[in-house]
Amino acid sequence: MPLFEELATALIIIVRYGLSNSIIVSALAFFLGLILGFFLVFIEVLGGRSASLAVNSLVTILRGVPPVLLLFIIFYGLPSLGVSLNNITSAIIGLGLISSAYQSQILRSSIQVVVARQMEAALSIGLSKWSAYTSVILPQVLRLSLPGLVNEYTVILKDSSLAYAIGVVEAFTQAVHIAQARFEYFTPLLAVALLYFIICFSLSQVVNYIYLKLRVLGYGG
Amino acid sequence: MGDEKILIIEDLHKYYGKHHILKGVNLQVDEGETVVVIGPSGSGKSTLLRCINLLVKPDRGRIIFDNEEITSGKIDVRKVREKIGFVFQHFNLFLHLTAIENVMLGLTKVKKYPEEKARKIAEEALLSVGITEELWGKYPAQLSGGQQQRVAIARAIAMEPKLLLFDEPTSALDPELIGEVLKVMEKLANEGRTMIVVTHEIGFALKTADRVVFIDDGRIVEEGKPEDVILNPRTERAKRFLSSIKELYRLE
Amino acid sequence: MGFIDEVAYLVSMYGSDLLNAMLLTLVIAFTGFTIGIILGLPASLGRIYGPKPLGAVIASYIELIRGTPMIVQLFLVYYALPIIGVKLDAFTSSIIAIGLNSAAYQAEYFRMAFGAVPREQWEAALSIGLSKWSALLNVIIPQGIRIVIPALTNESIYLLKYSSIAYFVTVPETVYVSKVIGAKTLLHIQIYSVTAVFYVLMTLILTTLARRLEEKISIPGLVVKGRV
Repeated sequence: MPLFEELATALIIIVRYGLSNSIIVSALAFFLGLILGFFLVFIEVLGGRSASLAVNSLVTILRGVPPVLLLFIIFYGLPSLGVSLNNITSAIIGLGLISSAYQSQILRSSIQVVVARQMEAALSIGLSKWSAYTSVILPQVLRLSLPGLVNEYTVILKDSSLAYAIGVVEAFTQAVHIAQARFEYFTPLLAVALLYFIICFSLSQVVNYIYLKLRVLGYGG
Repeated sequence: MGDEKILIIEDLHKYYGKHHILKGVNLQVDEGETVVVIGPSGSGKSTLLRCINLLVKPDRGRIIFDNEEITSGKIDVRKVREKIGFVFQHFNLFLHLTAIENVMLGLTKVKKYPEEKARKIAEEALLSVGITEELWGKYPAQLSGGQQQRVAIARAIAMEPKLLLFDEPTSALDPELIGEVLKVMEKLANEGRTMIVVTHEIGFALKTADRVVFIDDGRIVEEGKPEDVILNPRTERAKRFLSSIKELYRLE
Repeated sequence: MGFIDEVAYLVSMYGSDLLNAMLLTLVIAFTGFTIGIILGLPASLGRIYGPKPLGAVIASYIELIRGTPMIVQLFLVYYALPIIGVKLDAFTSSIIAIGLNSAAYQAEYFRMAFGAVPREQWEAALSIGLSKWSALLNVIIPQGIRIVIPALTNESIYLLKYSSIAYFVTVPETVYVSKVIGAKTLLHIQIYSVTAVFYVLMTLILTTLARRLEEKISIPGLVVKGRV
């Protein structure tokens, strides 16, 4: 069936020439978001009133602006302030910043849950606050946050397609190039949709699995 | 007490998967009778009640209610439920409605009464269970457990049912609130209503029941007058169950 | 020129274009959201209370939508539908793609909200003789609606942002117009700041409106579970 062959061809091209950038951008953005997210939570918890306010304002802004707009600000706007970043870096930073806002919320609620349950116990066996955080709280926070974080990654992966706006050749851009070259949109779009779906659906199954396992361990969400 | 049999249950069976919950229950209830059902948890008491108002479909056997075979599969389930009032262990008031709206819902949506008529009936029902006017506009979350359960009873009796079913109506209540609900139930029994009450309240059974039925492991093991069954049980199982309950309530 | 002056210049020169673009953004977001409710609510009911095959079809649709980027869906509607003869303009394509996308997510939100209504409410409703429909309409849905509001608020904010994907099919909404202005005047940071303020302001307005709505229809005892 010609459709099947064209589909397979398109898929191979997309995977070979576009997928790597999709993964690079999304993975690095995710980790940037994770680190910044933790940072935001620390500031909010340890800082005073004004620190909390600053963090909340930043989170509101990052959750309120369209990703494409932020990419434009970084890629087209920053050079006038002397900071010239290439498109991949701009994409990573843009998506990473937005993700940090969401990840900070995920981490914060996990931390609240774990601290409520475990802090008293940890302190009463004599651990210092620092040890309590590193040996008892943090490991559980990471475990509890896992479903939310994996879910967040799928969101970033899908959003990485927006990097098309600043010319990053990732999977979606590659599909569009194929479509423009052959004047035929359906096949490459279907191929890239399939690709995203396979990855995202598998990850969502992983999330379900982790979630079930957490409930068995007593972490019921 | 009339000699009309309002309820006849014949050889009732219910399975949940592999579990044989009701293993051939036979029970008859006269009009105006108050029957108290006692038994250990898991014995099938709740399931039995839910079979009567068809919330649960029996697997085998017949139930004849108000001269109609309601297990025949050709009846209008809703019409049957209109005639049976059910009071739940956890009250199950409609959380998004006020007390009076809870009582009125069945009257307006099922009996299709106009709003004023429904309101009048609801007000009377609420007053008869001791819920006074200032509570009528409250939401369930704003009422105590005892008040909620009494509103639930009002909701059931407002529908003018021919049979009232109570599924452990006081088990979820704080001890000091149990009394007010039992008082209402006593009043209903004395008015001549037909009631089947699943409960652990032995005192209530002794005082108010016309008949006590002991169920264990899906079967009726002993049946008779309250004093006979509770104070002088004949079967081993009834003896064991009742001695532990009576210890709890220090009735011996 | 200082930053403020540059912004003032942009507003005076392109103010009306920007206003039109922002209006378009709001129209796209609102219409998409509405389509989402119109399709999503019945879909969730069909999935919970309908026959199993219907539920499976709906669930598959939801998984497909949630597993692919919105922009891919938009391009399929705009560029690929013409193959079967359905030629839609950019604006309509955007609204349809966004609406279909939102419907999938809203179906999930409604499903979880209805699932959060205690099972016992069904029993109580049936035991006074209500039909299944009547029970749904008078007992389950009124409670489910209140539970779903935070999720719908998030969804509306999400759509406000992602109405910007219409940029990719050259609909003159806010992001598109800003880019054009930026390219023309080379005042990128300035124009983007203005539009960023617009989006954030809209988000705050939406959040406040939602909170008012929540308070207005709240019922003592029906705790609305907050979502991140």
